[in-house]
Amino acid sequence: MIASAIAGLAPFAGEVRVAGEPMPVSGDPLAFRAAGGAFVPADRRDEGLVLDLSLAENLALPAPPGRVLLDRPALRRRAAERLSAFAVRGESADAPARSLSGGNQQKLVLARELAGAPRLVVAIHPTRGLDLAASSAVRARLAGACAAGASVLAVSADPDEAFLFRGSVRVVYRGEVGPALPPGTPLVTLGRMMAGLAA
Amino acid sequence: MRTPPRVLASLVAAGTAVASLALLALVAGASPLDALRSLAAGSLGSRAALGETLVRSTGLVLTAMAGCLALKAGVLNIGLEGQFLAGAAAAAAAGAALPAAPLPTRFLVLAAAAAAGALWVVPAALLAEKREVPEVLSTILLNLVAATAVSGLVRGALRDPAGDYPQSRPLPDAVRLGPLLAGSRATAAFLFAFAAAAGLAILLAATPLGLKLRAIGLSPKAARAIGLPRARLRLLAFAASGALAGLAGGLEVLAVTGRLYDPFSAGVGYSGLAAALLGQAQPVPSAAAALVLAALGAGSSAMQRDTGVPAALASLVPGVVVLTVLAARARAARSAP
Repeated sequence: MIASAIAGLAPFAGEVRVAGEPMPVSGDPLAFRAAGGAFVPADRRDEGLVLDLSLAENLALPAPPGRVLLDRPALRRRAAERLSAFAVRGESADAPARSLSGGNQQKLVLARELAGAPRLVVAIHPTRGLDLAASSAVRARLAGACAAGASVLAVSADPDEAFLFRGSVRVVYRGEVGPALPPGTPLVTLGRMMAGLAA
Repeated sequence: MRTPPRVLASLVAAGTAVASLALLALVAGASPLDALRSLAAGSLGSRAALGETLVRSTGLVLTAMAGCLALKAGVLNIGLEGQFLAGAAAAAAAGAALPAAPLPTRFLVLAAAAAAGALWVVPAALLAEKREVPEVLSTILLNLVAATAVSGLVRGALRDPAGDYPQSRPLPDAVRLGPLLAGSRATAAFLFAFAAAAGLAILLAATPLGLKLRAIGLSPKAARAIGLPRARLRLLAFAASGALAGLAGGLEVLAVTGRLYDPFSAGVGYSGLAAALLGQAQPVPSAAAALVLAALGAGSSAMQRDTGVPAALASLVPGVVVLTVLAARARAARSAP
């Protein structure tokens, strides 16, 4: 909830600081993006991608290349580059996003979102429903974005996964954000906190 | 995997049309074969017949394009009829008031028509955006408002004092569009319609704006999360749809009737929307469907003359066809994985 509000999809009041610098966010996805935000929504099929558009078209949104006419060569070039950089396996760049497997759909979302060197990446359940290989690929991409200078806010409901993100881990229970947990916190403790039981 | 269902849909549509026409002829006590023959001759069989089809195609193709544009952006604009009437009323008012200088007046008449069509959308668009009133409801109600307004205008503000009938003053002959070919009623107006179809096909398939419009139509939620200005794009498509329907009304006045009267439209906007639905909101197939409806309209007048099968019966055919095709499509969608 907090994460999607930061991305501008729910009413938001408050202040967002990225690496100490305030980031103007006004509860509007356009403002969030203009401020250098990237968003990996919880539901890649419903919110992450337009399933009936092609891979190349999905990668071109929200600002397709071309002034009057669509610049098809640029669209293709950009798609080929991103698809290979993010190891998205699909029939072709012109196939609909619907035709991809779940893991490849999520990689396609990341290929679009991580393209513009974002300041802040908000990723909600980025590995939900993915197999092991795809999950670790997605985590590696987010870690890569981090290494490239982005701040990443990842949300997971899986206590096993929390420390795999290699960042500061906090438990959010009923809207209350808990303290940062040290690495090596036992899973049982984490699980109890997520269930709302005092650690 | 995409083409076969579409081909199938066209076959279903054509089959339904022929079968229901034959049935109607039987009901009216005529030979189905004679009725179909006179329908074909009356729509395509001669220069005059072809001209009649083209005359009718102008409004149908343009309103079909208006329907496509809105549908593509996810707006079901049932208000094409009202926007058509708003355009016609604006054209009649502007045409009778402006000087009889052909080119500038024609341009202004059509501009007024398009603007009126776009304005007729505004209440529905605002209600949808601010109060979440479904466009389906608001636009259909605005159709009734438009029909009532036309009825009032031709009896009041726009009434021609010279005539006995409730109708507006005629446009000067110099301003009205003349026939393109001798022996046919067709004017250059239908060229607008085909240009609009080509333009819309290019807009949707080959421009950045078209891609954005398709994205918001296909998945409003994803479009929002991805960062497209959804409300603005929807309003743009909706208003442009109204402008196209208004332009259709303006051309009807400029090219066919020369004035406004009551009732002015026999459901052009609804037929245009039916064509857009038959064409699955794709400009070229929808324009083709609109042409077929135009031919059906022209042919059914001939059929009534030749065989006594009432043309009003033939006007049932588009309705039957749309229902059949939508039912077939829904069935296909259900059985698909």
